[in-house]
Formats: sequence, structure tokens, C-alpha cells
Amino acid sequence: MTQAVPPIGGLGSTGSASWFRRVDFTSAVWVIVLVLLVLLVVLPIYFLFQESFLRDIDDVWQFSFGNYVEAFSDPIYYGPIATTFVISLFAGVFSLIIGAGMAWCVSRTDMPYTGLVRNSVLAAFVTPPFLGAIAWILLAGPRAGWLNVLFRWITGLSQDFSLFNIFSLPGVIFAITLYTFPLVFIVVLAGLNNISSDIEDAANIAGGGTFSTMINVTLPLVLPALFAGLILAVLEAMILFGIPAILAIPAGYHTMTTQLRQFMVSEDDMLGVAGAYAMPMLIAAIWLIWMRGKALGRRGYATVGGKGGVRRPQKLGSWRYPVFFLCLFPVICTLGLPYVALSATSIMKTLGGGFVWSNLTFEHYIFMINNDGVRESFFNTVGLALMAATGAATVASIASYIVQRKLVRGHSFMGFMATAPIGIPGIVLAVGLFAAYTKQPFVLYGTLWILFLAYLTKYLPLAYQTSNAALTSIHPELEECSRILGANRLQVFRDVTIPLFKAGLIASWILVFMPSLRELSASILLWTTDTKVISVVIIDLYEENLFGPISAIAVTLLVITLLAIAAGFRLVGKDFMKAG
Amino acid sequence: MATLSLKKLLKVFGSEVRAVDEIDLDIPHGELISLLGPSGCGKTTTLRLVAGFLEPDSGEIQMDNEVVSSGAAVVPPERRNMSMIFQSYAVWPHKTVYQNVAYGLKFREVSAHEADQKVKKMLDIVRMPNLGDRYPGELSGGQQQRVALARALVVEPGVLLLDEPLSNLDANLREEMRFEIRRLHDEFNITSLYVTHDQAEAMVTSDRICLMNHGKIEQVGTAMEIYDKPETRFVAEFVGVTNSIEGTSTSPGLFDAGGGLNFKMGNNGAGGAEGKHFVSIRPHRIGIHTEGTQIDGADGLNVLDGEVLRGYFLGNAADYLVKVPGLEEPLRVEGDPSNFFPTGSKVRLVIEPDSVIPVRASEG
Repeated sequence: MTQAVPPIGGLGSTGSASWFRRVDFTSAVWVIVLVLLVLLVVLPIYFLFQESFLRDIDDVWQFSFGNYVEAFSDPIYYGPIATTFVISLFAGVFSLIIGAGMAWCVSRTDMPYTGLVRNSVLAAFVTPPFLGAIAWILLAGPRAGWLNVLFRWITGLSQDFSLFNIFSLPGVIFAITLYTFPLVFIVVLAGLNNISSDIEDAANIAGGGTFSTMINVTLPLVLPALFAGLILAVLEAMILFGIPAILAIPAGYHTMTTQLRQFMVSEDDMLGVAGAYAMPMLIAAIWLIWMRGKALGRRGYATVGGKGGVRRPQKLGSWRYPVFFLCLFPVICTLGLPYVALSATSIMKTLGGGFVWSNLTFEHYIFMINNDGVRESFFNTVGLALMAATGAATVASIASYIVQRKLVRGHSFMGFMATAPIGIPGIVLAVGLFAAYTKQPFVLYGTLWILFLAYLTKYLPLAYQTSNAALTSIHPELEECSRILGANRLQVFRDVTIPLFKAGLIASWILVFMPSLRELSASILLWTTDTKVISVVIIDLYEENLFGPISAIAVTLLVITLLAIAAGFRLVGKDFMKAG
Repeated sequence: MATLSLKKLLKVFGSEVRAVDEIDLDIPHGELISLLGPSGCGKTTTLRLVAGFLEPDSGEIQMDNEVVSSGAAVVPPERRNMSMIFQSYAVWPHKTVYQNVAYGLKFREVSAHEADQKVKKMLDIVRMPNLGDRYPGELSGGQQQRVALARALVVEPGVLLLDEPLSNLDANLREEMRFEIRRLHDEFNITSLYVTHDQAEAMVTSDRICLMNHGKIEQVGTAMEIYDKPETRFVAEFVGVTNSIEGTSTSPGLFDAGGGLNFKMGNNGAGGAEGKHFVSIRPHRIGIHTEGTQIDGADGLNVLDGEVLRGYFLGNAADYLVKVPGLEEPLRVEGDPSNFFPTGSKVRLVIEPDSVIPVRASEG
């Protein structure tokens, strides 16, 4: 034992150990992150409330319920509430039927190509809903929609007849369902995959038939997942802005989100009324999230858990292929047809010109590249997405580290703050941010910073959940071992924590980057001429009926998104989208 | 070269859970001492206090007579020159076996060449000379445990801490690794603190065993002392199987179990006291004979008559529950299987006074 070991540090040699321990850098980081979280989440909501209760009476701003009275007394204003309710309910129920049905087929039957079906449903998240809506105008617009043209050509009916009209309440519900059923699918699939056949066998042995087992055992076990999926779909349908803005307004309807925008772009200062009008959405969103937590938490996955169970698929017999094609249908409507329509439109001179060589053009792509406004908004969008992804991944990983390692007292509050934005619809958040950052001392309106804050807040929960999942798999003893062998806190981070956490960090970065590229519902209230983003440009182009350039942009966005996903798979491996 | 000394060490969780309750313990250089006790007894907390991961509320930990932890200040783990073996092995999955073992040397004044020599030698010692390039994911649980051992030993720590190192291994491997740990300790002679809830593990590996319960030390001693001369009822019952009988010492060497039964005691136990206490009698120290057998020298022995309530034939031994009039609980008795007494047999039990060990009731 002649090895030169570091001297054992007696307390005499450290002196300041006590002081250093209590004010070490974790405390500083924790305070900064907590303040940041509070600013991100609490500030906009605080100003939202404040504005909703402030009213200009005789030239003096004072406390009043006037905004609430105004927001909920005029039929023009409360009509959209009913519309939203109907849309959310129907979209939710249809999503439940389609999503749960497909999940059951994928998880529990011997349907062929289950992997293909599963992956295409997951791929539906790649498409921004507002682009889907525009694509469905190309497909099912009453006059020029290709499906209607095709139908008239087959039947020989006159120009006035159309099979589909996407500009209608059913049309809106249809389009929304296409983008909400995947949410149900994911949640229910996870629930079904967790039930092993053992449990069902136990019921069979106890004398239950296949049908009785399904009703009495399987169904109650997946009920929480079904309920959670339904809630997610209803919530998403309620807070969507793009699809109603594109399809419902031409049909003569407003929803709560589009009505909220009307207040914000009104000639008069109606910020207070908007604040009041946002409250039911905020409360409904929080209530739905709370219900979901309750549904999943009570019986939870604990009962459903238990690894190693083998699942035996239900035999479909001669129904295997019919069921497969049935499952393929929603996927075709969500991904196949829209992207065919958008890709085709992006290289066609005129929509009615047909699929002929003389109608082929690249002018839309050239327009996209040469138009200053479009180009600038591309830069804004990509820059914002890079910033939001970096910011959210950083804040989320620090917060989840503090929470998981229980580094400070009150750590669970930090976790709550990081996930709280789930309960704040994007457009409501935007109203709050507008209220918070248009007046002194923080004037951020008109800069990209306000959009950055919106994206950061909106996608923080996604990044947080991903980081959390990644950190759970890093046992604290891995860090402690490095510590006791001689590494200080920073060296532990460098040698152990960061290398092991890298994959989770990259995953959460990409999972924020992708949706930030096409964020619409918050951006639509926060953009100014200098700070347009690509989703807002698409809405502008739509109002001018410029489907060619929109399609060119849509295809470009798809390519960027696919590149990001490919990068994710390359860097993280095939599990990278699971955590989200 | 290190001694370790715990003085009135106190750690309170929350407002009133005294996880470690003012314990004193001195460990001389080169000793392997195990902390044995049920879960929640404070053994792991003690270990983490020694490692410096936890800060004591009061009391001191001294290493080579220098204070490394006290209620006022704590030397961080990385400056204690200790090593630790963790329950989860804590082998880093992103580093090869070689990199895992070499890691701690990076923080010590060792030349690259010397470090390489040490790592290779250590891999030899743990019998993994050719697996340096493997990643932990490619190793079995036992091999990962060896990597953890090599990694902890290569830095030649002053103190080695082991936190239930074998609890994740399967039964056969666990037995093998017990001897392995003892072999490595004999080779390196590092002062070691070994936390376990498995008495056999503690008995095989350690020089001395420190039994803990409710945050307090019940007894410290060699495996033999702990087993044969338990001082408290908890120790007697936790280590091995025993019969605990409540009663009072009436005069020296005589124990009144109530119900007209008196036991003669030797002056063996340290836990004996005047007044109300317990005695502990190990089942295999009770001789079992046919009813009415004449016992030589019966005057100096305890002779009891009873009836077999249950007899179990186990091949290498026979286990009985014997109802003795005057005792509330039946006695557990272990006998010679070649002379088996079936359930219902009338039997005569013989106990030497030295096998009747007076023990204190445990505090708490």
C-alpha cells in the first residue's frame, strides 16, 4: 500500500465546509429554475385574471364583472360555446370509437401488418391539423374538391351536387377527429399492452366465456385508459384553433378559440372581455386534466402491470383482411389522402387543371423561396423552434433532476409547475402573455421573445415528462459511486449523469422542436409583421386562396420534420418517441 | 490504514424518526464489521452517514482520529478516501469494465502506466482478466458484482463500505460471493463496514457483527458471541431460532418462569439481571428423551416433562413443538432424527444450566 492517496480531508483542512454546504450551487440553480417556472406559468395566468376583472368605467380602470357580463350575455358570443361543446363531444366520441377499436385490433387480434398500422397512426402527429384541414378542402371542398369531382364524373350528376362538404359542422368534426383519434389510440394501446393474457385466462378458468371475459375483466381493466383517451381527445378538440378557423368560419360558425381571436383583433380594446371569455376554456381544461389524473391514478396501471405475461391474439379468421383495411381507412384519411393532395397541388399550375404535364410547375416552390415574407417567417420559425427546444430541454432536465433526486424541500411543487401548462390551452396562454407583456416594465409584444415564451411554456410539460422518464432509469447509486471514488458534484455530472442522460435530453429536444415548427394557436395572437411564423403565413395565404404556395410550404415542413425524426432515431434509438 | 469511530451519532428524519439513535462504535484498522438488522433498523442510514452522503444531526464520525462528520460540518464523500459497493452494483453502463475499474484512479496521484498495471492486476484478482473490453450490459450479475468489487478495491481505500452487496444475486451465487468477499478482505485487509439483513452473510464475512434495531446497537461481538451469548431478547431471536421465556430471577442462578417452573442458569449470559427479564434457550441445546428416562446427574440439570404437539422429520434433524405444563408457549426442540418422536409422544426434556441464557428485554 504505497499508493499516494489524497489526504483524508479532516474538517480542519476545509474550514468553510459548513457554509459551503448550505449555499452550494444546487440551491442557486433551484432558485433560478423555480423563479423561471413561476414566471412562465403564473405570470400570464395572473395577468389574464387581472385583465378580466378590469374595466374602463368613466375613463378609470377599476374592478368590475363587466367583462364577464359582456362576454356571456350576447348570443353572438355564447353561441360559439355551444358549438365548441358539440364539436368536442362528437370528435371525442368518434375518436374513442376509432382509436380504441384500432388499438384493440393492433394489440389483441391476429390482424396482419399491425406494425404498419401502429406506426402510421403515430405518424399522424407529424401533420399539423391546420394543414390537414387545408388538404381536406382540396379533397372535399363542395365545388372543386377532387373527391366531389370524381363522384360527379362517375355518376354524371350536375355541378351543383356535391357528395361531401367540408365547410360544415360534420366536416369540422370529421377533420378534428382525424387528428384526435391517435391520442386515444396511444393511451388505450398502452393500457391493453399492459394486460397479460394470464389475467384473462384466470377469468376463463373461473368459467367466463370469451365475451364475458371481455366485458367483465378486460373492459374494466382498460376503462381508465379509455376514459383518459376520451378526455385527451375532447380537450384537444376544444383547444384547436386551426381547423375551426379554416373550416368552421366559412361555414358560418365560430368556436371559442376563433371567437377569442375575434376579440383580440377587434378595433376596440377587448382584452378584458377576451380574458373573461378564456376562463371557461381554462377551467374546462384544468378540470379535464384533473379527471384524467383521477381516472388513471385510482386503479392506475398497478393492477394492469405485471410483466412477462404473454398475450395471445384473438383469431379473426376470414375477417383478418377486412379488419385490416378498415383500420387502414382512418390512416388514409389522416395521412395518405392529405399528403397526396398537398404534394400534387404543390406542383400544379391550377387546381382544376388536372394531372397533366402542361399543368406541372415549380413556381410555388420558387415563390416560397423568393418571397421575402415567407422566407423571413421560415427563419423566424426555425430560430424559435431551436430556441424553444433548447430552453425547454434545459429547464425541464434541471427541474426533473431536482425533483427525481429530491434535492430540495418542496421539490414536488417544482414538478407541478413544470407540468401545469398541460392545463393551459395555447390560445388562452397567448391571451395571458399578451396581457402580461404589452405593458411596462416588460414590453415583449412585437418581439420574437413573447413567442419564445409561449412555445417554451406550452411544450415544457412534454420536455419534462421525457426527461423524467429518462432520469428514472439512472439509478442514484451510479452517481453516488462516482462521488465516493473521488469525483465532486460537477465531475459526477460530466462523467456519469450527462453521458447517461444524453439520449433523454436529445429526445426531449426533438419532441419540442417538432411541434414548435408549426405552432399556431398561440402564435396567431402574438405575431406582428416583423415576427410572423410559418403557420401564420399559411393562414394568410389561405385567406387569399393561394393553395399552391401553401402546399409547397407544407411539403417543405414535412421534409424538415421527417429529418428531425430521422436524426432522433439515429441519435437516440427507436424508443425515442415513446417517452413523450 | 484507517480506524473508524462513531461517537453518539444521531440522525433524525422528519421531526421525530430517530433513524440512528446516538450510537457508539469503534472499528480498529483492518476489521470487517457488519451491521446486521431488520429493514428500517438504521443500518443503511449509518453506512450513508459514514460515506458522507448524509449529515448527522449530532455526534461525530472520526476516521484515523480526524473528525469527518459532525453536527456542524461534513467532509464531502469524494474527500474521504473511501470506497463503496452498492446494492444495485452501480456499474456504469456507458463505460467498459476496464474504464469502470480505472475510474477512481483518475482522482488519485497515479501515473497512467501505474494505473494500467493496477487495473489489470485487480481484474486478475477478481478473476476477470480477459473481460476488460466488455460493457456491463454483456456481463452476468455475478460478473457485474466483481467489477464493482474491483473498482472499489483498486483505489486502495482507507475504508470500504458495502451496502447489501449480495442481495440482488441468486442464492447459489450469493453463497459463492460471501466467501469471495471474505477472501478479498483477507488479501487487502481494508477496514470495512458491511450492511446486511442476512445473518448467514454476516457470520461468514465479518470479524465482528453489530446488531441494530430501532436505530440503536443491541450488541457487538463475534458470530459466536452473538449466537451463544446474546445479551438481549432481540439478538437471541434475530440470530437463529430460540425459545424466549419471560420470568424473574429469584436468587443467583435461579429463574422463575411462573407456573411453578424454575430454571437453573449458568453464569454465562451478560444480559442477566435481577428482577424481571427473559431467558433464551436454543432448540438444539435441549435434549429430548422418552418419557421416564433416568437422567444421570439430574440434580444439576433442568429436567422437564412434556408432550409433543408437532413433530417434523427433516432428514438431518427433527423439529418438535413440545407442550410443557406451566409454560405458556410450547418449546421448540431440535433432536436426533434417528430417534424420532411422533406427535402425541410423552417426552422428557433435559437442559444444561449453561444453555439457559438470561437476556434483557430490548428497548423500544
